[in-house]
Amino acid sequence: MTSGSETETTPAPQGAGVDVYLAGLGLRPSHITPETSRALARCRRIHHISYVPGTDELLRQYCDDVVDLRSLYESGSDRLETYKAQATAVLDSAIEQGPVGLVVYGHPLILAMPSMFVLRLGSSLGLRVRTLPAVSALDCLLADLGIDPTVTGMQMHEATDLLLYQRPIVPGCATVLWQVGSLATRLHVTVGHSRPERLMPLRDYLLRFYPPDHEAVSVSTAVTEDEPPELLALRIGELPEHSARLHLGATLYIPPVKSAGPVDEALAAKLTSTDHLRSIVETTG
Amino acid sequence: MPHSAPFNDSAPINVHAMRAEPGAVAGGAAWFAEPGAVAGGAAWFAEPGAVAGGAAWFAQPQDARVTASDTAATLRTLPSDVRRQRLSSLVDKATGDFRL
Repeated sequence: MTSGSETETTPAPQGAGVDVYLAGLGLRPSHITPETSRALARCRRIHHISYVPGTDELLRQYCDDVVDLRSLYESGSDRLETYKAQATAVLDSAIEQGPVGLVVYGHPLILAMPSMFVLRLGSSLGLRVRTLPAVSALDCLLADLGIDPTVTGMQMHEATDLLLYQRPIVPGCATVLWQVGSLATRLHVTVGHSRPERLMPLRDYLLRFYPPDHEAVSVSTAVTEDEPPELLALRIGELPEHSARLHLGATLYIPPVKSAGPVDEALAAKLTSTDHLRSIVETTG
Repeated sequence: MPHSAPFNDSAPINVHAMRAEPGAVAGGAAWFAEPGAVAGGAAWFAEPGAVAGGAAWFAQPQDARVTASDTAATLRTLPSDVRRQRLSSLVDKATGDFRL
């Protein structure tokens, strides 16, 4: 992965004339996609918000001008204001000397407000903003746990958002809760861990939908290929007791309750019916 | 806490099979700490205009908050400090519906 690594056989990057690339590094360097590599090599400046050690060095392989936007965080400050400042910095760079990149950990549009702000306002300003798909924490969680989300269906919520908007949960579907470790605050915190009291409102809310002994698992995907994921099994009713271990990077996976709910027997009967197939498919050729 | 049984029939998970020390969580890897946060707020996803292809994305609702003179081309002509201030104000206006 070096800047200018494109060859004649390498497809040209899509979106020539792009002003801003929103890109994700995945969870470890090997997750960076060829498409993202080509886009980063075109950037005149790359901004990043990533806590993965070595990110600066990694990005300098693509571009000499790398800006670490984590410097805009201040302990105890409102994260939302920081996200706005980060988005402003990216837009300013794009106007001054695009193309530029905004690179985050994971996927550029999952739990990445600065990216969303750049996308929202940049488009209005006439900037050409292109979002590149990337490996997300959800992709890794599915692999770490061996889950096909379509088997039962899956719902996901940011933990504070869940409580703030009282989102309904369908217990027959799998549930993913993001950022349990930063529950109930918008202020930036870098040290310490959660007290049990922090998790109590979440436990109480979840108990509206799950029995107390329903088991969940906290997942933190490894950032190197040689390490296993960090998994912490717990019962919903005991969530506060694990507060110190539910750190900022932990994602909570709650399996569905066993009851699958009602089945549409009429549709079930049609699934292997050739007559039904002919009635819903127009044969061609 | 026993974890040897699958969580349920349809999505079996055996924590023991995947990790030798169930329950062990290393102490808060710093790099996980919020690179952005929260896809929150129903308002965001309620808005129309999500079309692949760049400039068209999310073009409608926030246009009302961006004046005709607020284009990249015109902002480029401003002194850098003035431009940055104007951009900051526009970001504020365009994201006023966010709580998280």
